[in-house]
Amino acid sequence: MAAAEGSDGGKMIVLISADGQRFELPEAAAKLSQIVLYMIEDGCCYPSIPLPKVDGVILAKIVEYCNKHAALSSGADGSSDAASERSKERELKIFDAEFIDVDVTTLFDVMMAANYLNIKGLLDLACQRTADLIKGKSPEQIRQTFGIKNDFTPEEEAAIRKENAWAFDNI
Amino acid sequence: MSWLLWVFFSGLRLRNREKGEESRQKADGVCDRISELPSNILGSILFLLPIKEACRTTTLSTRWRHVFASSPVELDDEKVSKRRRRGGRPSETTVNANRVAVITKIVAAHRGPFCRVHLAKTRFHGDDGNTYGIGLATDLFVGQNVEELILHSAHSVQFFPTDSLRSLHLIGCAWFPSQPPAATFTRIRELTLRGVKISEPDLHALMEQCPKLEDLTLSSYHEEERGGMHREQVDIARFLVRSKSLRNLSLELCSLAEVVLVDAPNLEHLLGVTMTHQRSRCAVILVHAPKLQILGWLCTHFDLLFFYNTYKIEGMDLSLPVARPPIRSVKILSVRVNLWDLGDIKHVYNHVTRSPCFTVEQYADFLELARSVPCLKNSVKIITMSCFCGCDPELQFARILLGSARVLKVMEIFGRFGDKARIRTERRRLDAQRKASSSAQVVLSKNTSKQADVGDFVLNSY
Repeated sequence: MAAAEGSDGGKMIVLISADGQRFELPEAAAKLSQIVLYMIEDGCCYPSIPLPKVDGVILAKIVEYCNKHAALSSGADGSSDAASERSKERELKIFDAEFIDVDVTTLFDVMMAANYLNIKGLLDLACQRTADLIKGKSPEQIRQTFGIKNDFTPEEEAAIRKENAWAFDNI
Repeated sequence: MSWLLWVFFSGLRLRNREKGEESRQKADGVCDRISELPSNILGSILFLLPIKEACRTTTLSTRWRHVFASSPVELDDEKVSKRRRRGGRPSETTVNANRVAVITKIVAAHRGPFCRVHLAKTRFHGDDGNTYGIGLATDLFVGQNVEELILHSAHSVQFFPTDSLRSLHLIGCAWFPSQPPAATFTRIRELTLRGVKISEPDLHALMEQCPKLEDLTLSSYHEEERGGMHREQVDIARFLVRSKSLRNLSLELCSLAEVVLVDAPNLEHLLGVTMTHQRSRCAVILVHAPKLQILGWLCTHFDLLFFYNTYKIEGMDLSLPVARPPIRSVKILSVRVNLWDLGDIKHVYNHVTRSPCFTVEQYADFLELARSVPCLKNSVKIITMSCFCGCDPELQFARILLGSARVLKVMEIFGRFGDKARIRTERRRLDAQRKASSSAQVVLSKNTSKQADVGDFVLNSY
């Protein structure tokens, strides 16, 4: 077995993206993905884990997320007093906000990858970001934001509006 | 070999060209990626939106047409229709036929789970007993994975077996089933019964059905349509608390004469028990509550029996040993005192000598008593005075408290001070320089009383 040792003594896991790029990250960070966690538990993570559905650019982002969250998750460095917990939480929040402030295409690539890799925290973050983008917009504005093509006939659309009139009564 | 290389490179070129086309397409305008997401993810995005906005996505495209109908939703009556009677308060409970119609429609058409159902602000029946729209039997939500259910219903409630229900609030319910299905309450953590007619044996039977219950609120009162408080006749005279999981207990029952904490190993807060108009005494008996920290808002009609060795429950062949030494774990004991009544004051004095921290609600002429309370000198960190009017005896009392509490951190005084100049005058009159604790802060506030409950108080100060 080629279990690589990281600088801090923990095991390192190697992920390979669809376009063949290698990403090395600590086991604790890789385990944030349920899929990778199962693979590690089953012992089929050596020498590397191929992820044919995830592009290198997106995998780089996901590795960045996992590294940050694993490093700052509670009890990672043994200190557990309330003040440092709070400052870590704040740092994570700032990190998350900057991390997810991306263009719509990247956002959905990240969301698809998070869904495929089953990283709940990241999926929730991306869903929240999408919801924030939808919030307060009219259907036409939502279509423009996400490039959704309206394939209803005007009659169909009017019928749906009528059916759900309660939702449109004060836009 | 060279031929093979050529095939390889031309293949690479081809792929690059495809990529280039793709990126150009992206540059033209956003390409529709969101609609490619699986329906369950779209559903969880819609769950994060207000229900109206979530419903409006049905008009986006055919892909979105049915996403809402099967997504999880939070049904909150105030968000469904905001129209209310002119001049009404936002939190008012209303009889609103339009709103009832909308809620009925949503419930009938929706196929996805209702995670949270909040129907506290809508009455589904008029004063004449007529029901508008759905009868709101709770079996509408059978199999809908309801986690939180808040219902305001004068009709009886039909319970259904569920393993997802975590939180249940019932308001103004005229009848509580004496034997709800056992599976209803197995996972419940939070239970609130406001103005619900439940009998004493039923309450005790219910407690046994809730092995995970952490928060329990029982109240005789519920909000009326016009914003007033309506008092319901709830006949519970004695409440024997036996629960391994219970942490917070809040009681506002007019009929209550006895609360016995028989076996409450995890109970931390016993709150909200003041009934100002109540004339009969109510006893709080602490048999086994080793983690009790806050015992709050008792009025002096409450008898705290922690100094008896055993306590015999009337009408039952049962004698209980009472915790002794009493409640060492209690950090805050809050008592509302009629300080013009010497009997009351002595009663309170007996209690505060047993507790390291206490809250004084009103001025008292028990200055001599105050000086001799050891916990005041050595342990009191926070003193709150409400309804302070600034007359001489009050001021003298405040000065004595300031002058004796050596580890005091904050003294908050709430009163009708009017303007800043008046606050400055009162501060001068308090003579705060003579305080016993050098680090003590004196805060004067224009509000007449502290609105926050004891729980907030603790969070703020520790």
